[in-house]
Amino acid sequence: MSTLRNIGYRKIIYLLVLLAAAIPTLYTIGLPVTVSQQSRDLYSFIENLPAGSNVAIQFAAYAGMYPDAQPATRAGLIHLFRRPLNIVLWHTSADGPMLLTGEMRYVNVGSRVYGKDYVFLPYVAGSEATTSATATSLRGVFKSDFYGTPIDQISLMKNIDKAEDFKAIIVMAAAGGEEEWAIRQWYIPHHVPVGAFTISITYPMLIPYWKAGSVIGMTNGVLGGAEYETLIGARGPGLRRTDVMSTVSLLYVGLIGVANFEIIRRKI
Amino acid sequence: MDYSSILGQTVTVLFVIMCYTYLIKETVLFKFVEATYVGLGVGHGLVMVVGYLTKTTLPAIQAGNLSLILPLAMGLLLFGRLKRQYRWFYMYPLALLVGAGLGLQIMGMLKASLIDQLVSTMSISLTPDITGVNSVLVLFFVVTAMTYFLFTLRGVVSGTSTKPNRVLDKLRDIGQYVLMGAIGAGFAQSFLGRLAVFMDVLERVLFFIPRLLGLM
Repeated sequence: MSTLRNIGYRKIIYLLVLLAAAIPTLYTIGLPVTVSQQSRDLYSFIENLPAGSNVAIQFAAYAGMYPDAQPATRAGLIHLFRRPLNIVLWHTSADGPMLLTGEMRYVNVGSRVYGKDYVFLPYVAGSEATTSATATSLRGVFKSDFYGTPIDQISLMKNIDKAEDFKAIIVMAAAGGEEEWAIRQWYIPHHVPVGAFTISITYPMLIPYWKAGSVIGMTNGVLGGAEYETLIGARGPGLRRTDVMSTVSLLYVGLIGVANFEIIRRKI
Repeated sequence: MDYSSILGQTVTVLFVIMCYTYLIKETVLFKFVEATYVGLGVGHGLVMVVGYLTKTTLPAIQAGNLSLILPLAMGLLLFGRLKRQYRWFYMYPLALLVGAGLGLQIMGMLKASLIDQLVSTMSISLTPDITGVNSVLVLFFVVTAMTYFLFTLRGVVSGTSTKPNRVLDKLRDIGQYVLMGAIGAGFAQSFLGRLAVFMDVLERVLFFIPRLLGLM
């Protein structure tokens, strides 16, 4: 006990966490994943969208918390591009274009043609006011796409301008409440269904909205990513990382137990 | 793997290791990484915003959409905060931002965050399954958590003294546990989010050499 005290409990906990995370990272255990109703709802909604439906994606990924949303975001993009949907994506985070470029390497666009089946619009600042403006008129916010092509010259955008032109808006990797902006500015006034591939911290906030029917479904951080990978049948970082989450969480529960036992022992 | 990727990954791993020296003590290496991260973040954000202005706003003004001059000027007034004598400049755009923001929020908030959620909470499903039990529990927990904030109703007034109301006190106690549970769950979710970031960093460090050698 005195040796442990000399080293410092904190440093020992750091070492234990490092080991608990490193071992399952190197040797995959493959613990089973139960798919939540929220992830299943989101998957079913996208899966049942009629062919040719216009889907808006508000890509709100911030580099700082992106690893939490990455598995679900990638799985979501794979699913969306697998289906014959017209996708219009724009960024509400300055980090978004850089992160999306990295993600698109894992997405098979197949025979989909840029400009005809999908369009990437640039980053736009302005938080909730911008989300409201995009619902009113995309042309009012964007004059050209991400690559500088004027919107009027993009065939997909000829019949798309306002929220009513879309069958759904999907908020991806948000860490600053962008889902609530979409609910307030797209769902409430224009009745466009909102889906979310979100981070763990935002997830509990969305549960009441999901129960109330304001959100069609959402994923929960890395765990949600693993669930979505299971649903689309594409193994990725989510399923790999859930093993690490389980072992580190077990270690933490164990440490809480040990700390409580020590406190009780001292009192006796 | 091209040279830019090798350089990028090497810098990432070096920065991660330098950053984690903080676990031993606050070192110069950690401070260097901290300053670089903040500087890069601000610089990147600034370039993106200026890019949006030069690609979208300024061409639109040049094309004759003069109504955009007003928001652009209001945006510039925000920089008044940087010098004390011009600080009052930034109060006008700030007031506009807060006012417009609140106006936009309240419009959707009343329905999405209040009415719809109240209806959803009060809609009890009396079925002998987990959904039915959950719906009753949610309503009970919402009521008890709200009881915790009933500061004006402390007990039964009898003459000049107030006797404690046992039922209300019990509900308040349950409400306190409900709130603690909710805060605990929120903290756990936050922990999982940070853990995901740590896992990503760990993967980059552990698989750095195999990736460099093209084994992964």
